[in-house]
Amino acid sequence: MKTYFNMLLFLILGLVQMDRAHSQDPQWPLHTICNSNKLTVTYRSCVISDPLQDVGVSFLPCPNKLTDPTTVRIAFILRQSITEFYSSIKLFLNGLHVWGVDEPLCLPQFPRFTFCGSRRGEMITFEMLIKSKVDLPLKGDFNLMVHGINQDGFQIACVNATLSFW
Amino acid sequence: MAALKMGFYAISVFLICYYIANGEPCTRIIENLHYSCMGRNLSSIPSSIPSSVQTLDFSFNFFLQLKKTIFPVLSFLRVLDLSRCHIRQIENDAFYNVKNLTTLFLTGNPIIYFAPGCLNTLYNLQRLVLVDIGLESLQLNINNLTKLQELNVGTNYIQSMTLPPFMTTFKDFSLLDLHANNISIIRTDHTVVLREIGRNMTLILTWNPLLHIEPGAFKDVYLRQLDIRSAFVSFSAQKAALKALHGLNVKRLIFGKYREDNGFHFVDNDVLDGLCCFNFQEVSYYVLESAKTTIAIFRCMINATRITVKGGNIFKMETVHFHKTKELYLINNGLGTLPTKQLSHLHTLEKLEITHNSEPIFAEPFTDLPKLQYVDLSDNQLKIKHCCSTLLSGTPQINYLNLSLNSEISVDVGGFEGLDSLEILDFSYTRVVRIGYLSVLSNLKNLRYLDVSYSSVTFSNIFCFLGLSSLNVLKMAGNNFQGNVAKYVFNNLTLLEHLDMSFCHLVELHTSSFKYLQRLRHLNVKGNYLIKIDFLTHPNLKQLTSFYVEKNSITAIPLHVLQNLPMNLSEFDLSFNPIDCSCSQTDFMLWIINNQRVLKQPENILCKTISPNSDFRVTDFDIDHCVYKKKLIIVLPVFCVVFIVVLSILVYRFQFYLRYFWILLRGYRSPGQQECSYDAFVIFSSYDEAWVMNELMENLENGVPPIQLCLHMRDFQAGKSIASNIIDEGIMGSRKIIVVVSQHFIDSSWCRFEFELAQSRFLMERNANIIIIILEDVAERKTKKVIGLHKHLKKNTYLKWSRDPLSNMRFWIRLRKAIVATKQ
Repeated sequence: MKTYFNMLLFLILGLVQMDRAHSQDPQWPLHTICNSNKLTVTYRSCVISDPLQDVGVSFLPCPNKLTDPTTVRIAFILRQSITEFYSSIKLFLNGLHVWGVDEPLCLPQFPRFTFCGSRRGEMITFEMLIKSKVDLPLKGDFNLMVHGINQDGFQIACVNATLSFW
Repeated sequence: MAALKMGFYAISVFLICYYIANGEPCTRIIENLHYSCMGRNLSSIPSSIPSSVQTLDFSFNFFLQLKKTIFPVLSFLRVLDLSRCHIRQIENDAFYNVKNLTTLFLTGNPIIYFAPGCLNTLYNLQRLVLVDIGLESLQLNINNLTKLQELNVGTNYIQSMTLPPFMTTFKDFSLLDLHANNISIIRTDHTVVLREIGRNMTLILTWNPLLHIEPGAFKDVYLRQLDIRSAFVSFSAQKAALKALHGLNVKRLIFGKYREDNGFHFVDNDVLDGLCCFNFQEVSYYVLESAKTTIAIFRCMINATRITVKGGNIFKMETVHFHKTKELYLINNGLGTLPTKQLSHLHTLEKLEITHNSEPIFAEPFTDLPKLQYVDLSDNQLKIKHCCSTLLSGTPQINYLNLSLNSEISVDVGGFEGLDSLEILDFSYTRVVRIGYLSVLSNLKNLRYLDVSYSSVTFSNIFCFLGLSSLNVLKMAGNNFQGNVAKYVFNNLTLLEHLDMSFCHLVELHTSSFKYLQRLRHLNVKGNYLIKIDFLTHPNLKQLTSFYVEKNSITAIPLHVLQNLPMNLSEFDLSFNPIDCSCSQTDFMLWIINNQRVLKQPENILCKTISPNSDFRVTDFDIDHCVYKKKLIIVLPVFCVVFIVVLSILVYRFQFYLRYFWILLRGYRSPGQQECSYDAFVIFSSYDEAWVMNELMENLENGVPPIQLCLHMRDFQAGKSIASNIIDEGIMGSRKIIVVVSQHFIDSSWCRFEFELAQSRFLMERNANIIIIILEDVAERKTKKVIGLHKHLKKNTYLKWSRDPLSNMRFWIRLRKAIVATKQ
């Protein structure tokens, strides 16, 4: 009887293990950055096969107009070194590509940011003051896709954001 | 119960195997030497790691506490990465079993307890990374680590850069990284140990909130590199700190701002005067500050041999007299004028780079720079009207000149006089005037590399590359050729190895273009409109190894070209051409499928299709389908010939029947519409002619009333075919048909034919009447030879001829009655 209980316990543990593995949520959680009557910003980190990680993003404060200055803060843990780091930003409106920029953020000879040259395991925290010079009266839902790639072609970070202007 | 027990055992075995299979989580990178267990949620070293391992990546796992029993004996381990392993405590002797480490990473572990001697067993350690572990002080118990070279304690809470005294014995120590800590004050007693360590030190103080440096704190300190970018809380703090660095000797100084540091504005034009208080050989200044007025940036840099200023908003450089400058880099400074006055006559200058000025920049000549070798003026919105004498004079040593990404440059004839040493010349993405129709480059005999890509050049003169006898690389993408200039323009380039003619609107290339290019190895003609590449078979191109012809208009390449490609060709890009994937090009497609080793991007070699949305790859083409089709092409004619022959035979065999059916189709005439010519048509064998003439004709035609007979030897029309006579005069022209059956009748094919036709008419008319006379007894089995005769005899009454007078009389009465009865 004692042996049977051990086997049963073993079986239950195994089933729980397998069940957890199979039912794992394939998506990162949805984060809300801004939720005001003027602007709503939500984002979700992309599912990358390897390595897996979430990205923290915040706006301080949430701007009511494009000309209002705001500080964007981004934080994530590196899983690959970034001797070189390239960013790609694309903006879509109703599925149409309306704006985009590809820019090298870190190059071997010219490390422009503090995180240039950081190694795996380090926490990257990045803040930048953003202010538009032109107050565009934006309406509608925009999709923003941001990718970061290192010198070996690894996708370091990836974010899909939705900006809703009212 | 027994079954249940067995089931449990089976499941248990399965689960055990499942866990064992999961027990090999580490990736082998180099067998026995390099393993990665990154991110496997492990809390111990797997036993599958061999004891010979040298590099072990164990980052992103779970340890919580490091003690001696954690690591097995790994005597050969040199590099151990324990980043982000959630380590909180490190006990003494934790690294005893891996004591031969040279590199240890503990990045990102929230260590709250360091046992006093936990690191001291690592006698051979050279590199120690303690980034982001919550350190508050540099007072570490690492006195046994006398071979230490690098200590990285960035992103911690260190408030003082005071090093422990025993580090004066670390003779190899060369890097102290204190980036992103809480150091706000540096005093003289903080740098005592630093002063004692060797002169090859790099000190990184970036991203610290430095408020104050005590004057003299760095006196008599010798450093290889000092990095103080974004190290100061305010502009005035930086200004005072630079002055406080007096007495410092540093080879390479790096200061200024990181991009995300929200900079402040210059308030004084003497903000950098502190640079005059200490000695440096090289300086890199990342500005980002914006200035309302002209500021003195270079005043204290004139003694440096290498100067880099990036991101300033200089516009107009102040007048200074450089003394020892060998290399000068001015990048993204918003210059409005090239600093020609400041730099001319600087006899030490060897390398000059002024790039990324977004406003139009005015060019005056650089003069008297005898040692200048390298000039990069790319991306500057430059407009030069008389290149290059109005830009460079007295510069005989220049071998590199980069004028790419500028606005417009006009090259004069003789414009490169005095630049005879030039080896590399880059005009890409700059509008260039006169290169294409004048021989403006003729004195550049040492030029090895020329790039005029996307320079709006139209090559109209076959001598425009005259004199470039050493040219090795020629890039001319995105330009135009006029007439047949491309045939002759490369005639003098006998040493050319690399030729880029992509996007040049080429429709055709002649073999004569490559007549003198015997050393050509890389040829790029992508993005043109070429239909043929026959020039590739030219014997002079035997050295070719790479050929790019993607995005052209090639539909097919003939077999004789494919069989004579250069032998050394190892890279052939044929992608994005409208390949003709039809069975007429089987040889070509077979070649593509069999030569994917040579072809680049074979998956992008697409077939030309009617639908622009569908992508069909040549490699997916079914050659067997073509083979089948070819067989079909061979079999089909053979089949047709056989069919025709067989048909001809059949037509001959059944010609009489065909003729009959044709007559019927042509127009059947009913008897009511036309009066028949004869009362009866007599079908008989020639051998029975005597009976027909002596008996039948005498009794019927000479009797009362007379009956008109149709006899073939008498009544058939001459000149008409027998078959037609049978049909027209006999069967169709008579009301009755008399069949004289005898042995000879059975044997006659003509008789059988006539009888069968008569039956056909009977079937169609139904009122036709056949009268059969049995002239002599015929065996029943023989009557079956005639189609339908046997059947007819069984179903219909027939007359039998006899020589008996009484029967004879009855015979004639009945025959006459049969013929006459239906006459009305």
